[in-house]
Amino acid sequence: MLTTVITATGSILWRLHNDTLERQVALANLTTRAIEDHLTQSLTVVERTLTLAASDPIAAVRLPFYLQQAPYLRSISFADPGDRIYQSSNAENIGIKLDRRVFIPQSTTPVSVLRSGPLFTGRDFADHKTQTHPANSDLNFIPLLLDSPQKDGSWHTVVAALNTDYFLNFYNTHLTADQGQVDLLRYDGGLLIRNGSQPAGIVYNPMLRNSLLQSETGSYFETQPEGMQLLIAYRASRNYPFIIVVRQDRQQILANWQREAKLVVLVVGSILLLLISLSSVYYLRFEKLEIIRQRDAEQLRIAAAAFESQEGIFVTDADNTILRVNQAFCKITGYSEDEAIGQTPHLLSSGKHPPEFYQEMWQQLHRCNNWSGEIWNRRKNGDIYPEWLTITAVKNAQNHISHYVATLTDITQRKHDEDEIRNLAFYDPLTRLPNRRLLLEHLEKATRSAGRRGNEGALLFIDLDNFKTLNDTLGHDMGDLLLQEVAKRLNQCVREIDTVARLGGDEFVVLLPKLSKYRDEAASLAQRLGERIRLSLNIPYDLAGHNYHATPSIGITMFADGQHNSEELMKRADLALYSAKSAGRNTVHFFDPQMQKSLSERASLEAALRQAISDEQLVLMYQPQVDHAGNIYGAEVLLRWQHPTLGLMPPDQFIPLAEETGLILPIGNWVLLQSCKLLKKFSQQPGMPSFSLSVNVSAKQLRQPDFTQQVQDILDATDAPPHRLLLELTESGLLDDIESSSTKMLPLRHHGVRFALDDFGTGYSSLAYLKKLPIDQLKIDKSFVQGVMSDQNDAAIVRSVLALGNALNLNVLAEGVETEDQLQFLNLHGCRSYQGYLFGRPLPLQELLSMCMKQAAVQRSYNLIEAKLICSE
Amino acid sequence: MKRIVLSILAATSLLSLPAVQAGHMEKIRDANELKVCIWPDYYGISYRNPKTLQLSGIDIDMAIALGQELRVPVRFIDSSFATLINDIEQDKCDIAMFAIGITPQRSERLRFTRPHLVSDIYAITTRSNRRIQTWADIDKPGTVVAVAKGTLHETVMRDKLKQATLLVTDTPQGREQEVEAGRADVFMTDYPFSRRMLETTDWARLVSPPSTYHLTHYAYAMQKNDDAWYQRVSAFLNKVRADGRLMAAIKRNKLDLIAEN
Repeated sequence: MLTTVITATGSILWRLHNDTLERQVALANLTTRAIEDHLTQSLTVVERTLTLAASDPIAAVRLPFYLQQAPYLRSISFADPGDRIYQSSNAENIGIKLDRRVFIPQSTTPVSVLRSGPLFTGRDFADHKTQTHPANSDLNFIPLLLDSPQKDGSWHTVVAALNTDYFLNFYNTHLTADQGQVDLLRYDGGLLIRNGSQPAGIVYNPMLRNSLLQSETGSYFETQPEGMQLLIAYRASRNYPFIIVVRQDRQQILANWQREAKLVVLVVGSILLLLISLSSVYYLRFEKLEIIRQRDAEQLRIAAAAFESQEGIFVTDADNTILRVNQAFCKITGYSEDEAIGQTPHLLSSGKHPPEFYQEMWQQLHRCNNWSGEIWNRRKNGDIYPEWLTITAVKNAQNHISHYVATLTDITQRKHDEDEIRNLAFYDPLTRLPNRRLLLEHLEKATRSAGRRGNEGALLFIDLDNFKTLNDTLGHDMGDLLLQEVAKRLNQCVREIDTVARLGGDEFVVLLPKLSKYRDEAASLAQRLGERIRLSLNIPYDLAGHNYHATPSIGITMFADGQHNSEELMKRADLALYSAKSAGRNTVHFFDPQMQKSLSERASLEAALRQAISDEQLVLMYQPQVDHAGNIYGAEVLLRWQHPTLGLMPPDQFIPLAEETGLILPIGNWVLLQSCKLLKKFSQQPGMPSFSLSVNVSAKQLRQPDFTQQVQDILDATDAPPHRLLLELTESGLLDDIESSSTKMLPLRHHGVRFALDDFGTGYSSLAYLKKLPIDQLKIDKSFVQGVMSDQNDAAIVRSVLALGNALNLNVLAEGVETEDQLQFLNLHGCRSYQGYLFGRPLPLQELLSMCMKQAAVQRSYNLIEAKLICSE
Repeated sequence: MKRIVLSILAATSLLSLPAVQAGHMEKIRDANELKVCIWPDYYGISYRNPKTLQLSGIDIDMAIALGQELRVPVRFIDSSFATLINDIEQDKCDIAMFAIGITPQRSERLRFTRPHLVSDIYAITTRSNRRIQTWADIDKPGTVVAVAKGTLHETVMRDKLKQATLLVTDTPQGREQEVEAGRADVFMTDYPFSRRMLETTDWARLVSPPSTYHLTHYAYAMQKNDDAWYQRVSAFLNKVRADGRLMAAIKRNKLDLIAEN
């Protein structure tokens, strides 16, 4: 716009400039024409006046008359053929000699043409001074000469002094000095008249001359040497040898235009300035707004970019309705924008958090305006995933919550990564076994737990013998394969709760928590496990085709009461391992030498016991059981070990070991088999058919899933009468699983096998299982029986048990009856079966039979005979 | 060097005629007209517009007023300063009313009323005249000063000029022509005439004396020996002065600058 206005103004001014110039040129031409007209007309009058005067016979008198109305003439004179004035309106001119050569147009012969001389100084011919330059004179005239032919053929010469002032007046009235300059030139270029005060210079320059050659009239611009530009308009007189030149300063003629232009420029400039100022103000304002707008847009863009971040974002209103979600939200949750908007975040609820979790969350949100934490949410596809959720409450100007902004990050990967890190931190990458760190954690836990519950545990250090040689010979890859295989075998040897760890290299550790309440048992179990591991690791390995045999050394330390810290235990186990290595490798060693010793003994005992079974060093003894009449009606079968060197060993010295080692099962079966064989024999002997045998059954036996079948098989095999067999169970054996026990007992019971509850009163003596289990007999433990005469409590217990037995219609047998008083007490309180030294200690079969025969001899002689027959078999 | 050129002397000082016996009052009554001499080129005083031939000026107004006073028509008789005395003495008119400057020469032969205008002498030159710029340039050698014959200026300038050449023209127009043609540099005139020159020509330029040069009182002239007539005219003039008609006429003709009470 600015350029347009400037251009338009410039264009208008330029056009005005050109118009002004054109007009001024036209005006100058017009002025030139007017002046030339005036000159030519004046000269025409002069020519006619002179012509008239020339032929006037009384011219001398009439000259003043001729001059009267001719202000352009100062004088009229007549010259003789010698060009000397002989008559004049001004008497002083008479006698003046004229020089015809100075007049133009020049002619040697008279010609009837008005001719002009150069500018003469003075008022008239009379005071013309040739020595003074006309330009410097204050009074000049132009001499005119006319040869006028007369009727008689002669010529009269008339001369006139042309009044320059007259023309000058005329010029001045047309053009003031400051408007321009009028020059009257003789046709040869001589300056005759010039208005204004400028001294006459050379005005007839080549330019004018050239222009005149082209045309008698015209105009042009000319630059003066001093730089001034002039408009020159010229016009030659139509008839006379004169030229009118009007010269105007270009600046001057453009002065008006310049004033107008200045005014226009001023006005337009002011308007433009105002416009520019206003525009500037608006522009600045606009710029400012634009900057603000850009900044806002930038912030919006940033906000939008931030909103579309990797984190899922959703915005809800105060009522918890979702208003906006971002792409990441859709990606994480699986819900599209359309599905999510309008819903509440409950959409994402996994159901994994209890209501209290959410209540707490809202409480904190309202309290602190934000909440962040780990939360399980559900994706659209049902996947439950962990996310890190941050909720910020947005408040409005009234400090009321207007929106909630929630950002959520799916931390499934993070959790996975954490697990990975945890794996790296806690597990050995090669074997995937827990590393030292995790082991120590577990160990800490186990020792604490052991201390609290009084559970014995064990720590096993396992080292492969000559592992370095393997690495050196077959390479590390083989070593690694071996380690992986070892790890696998170790895991196969242990329980669920145990920990197999690798410390590095070929060093493995097995942590066995909660082995047993009893130290010996625990140690034994540890030892056995150690042995099992040793044997397992001794099995040849197939290492990528290489058959390899490895042996381990195993060191064990026990822990129970938490008195030793983990480090100490590790040290001990390591020492035990060192001890095992020292002992020749491929062996298991305990840290505690005493324990090592006792375990060794137990090991040898076990071996001996195994030997005993195969060598039939086990022998059965029978303790008689009598009724209230003192008649022997049966016996309890008792096991003894006839050790080759140690002699006859009582059951408490080897039964626990047998239980522990599982040897109890073959032993138990053997005892049952022998007893059933005996029962079969008894059944076939007269006088003994009702003789019954009580056989102890260990809990381990009863726990055998096929216990029922085993018993049935033996009964079937021996064809023994089931109703003569009484299986004695201990409370502890039964109580492990009453249902299972009952299930196993009932079929046998149906078969006629009876069951006795041994050591009744020492355990829980729950009446419940008395009701549930098919029990036929209760055996009062001898500890109570022996105290009936001295201990009120024992007596009370015994009385109660007897009462209970009677009430439940159970046979009650009192064990350990050693005195008559005891017998009397028991008898008095309704006990009808007894067992004890009072009636007979455990006896070999022969002695039992003798006793039976003796009893029979007292009663019936044939009974005795029959008994003899049996015994002799 | 003083040269006085008397180019033309159309009339010389003539012998005075025998005294007129009959009073002008009676003559006027008998002839039933008042003959008033005027110079019809006297702009603002007694000027005949050549385009309409209508007369105008202060003294025309006054002459008409006088005629009305005397209840006779007025007949204007063309006169000039050159013929004034003769015209009065020969009774060509009863009174000359064209602001006649009271000069000693005129006062010898004529009787003047109380003057109503007063004017100094002014010079008129051409605009293009480079010699005459100020009053002081006038009385210089080579300068030609034109005056009209018979005018008070002729006598005054003849007396005053020391170096310039005095050119006496027969007619007032002559002096203008001399100046315009450049044969003379200036001509001398009074205030009313100079005004006319400036207003009607484009070549005239006024040159004023820097201070009072020569004041001349203007009045009406009549024969000397007719007291009754003189009284009557004086009474009339007193009357128009008193009633303001005189002043109004002066003002109407823009000559109040030179009015004299």
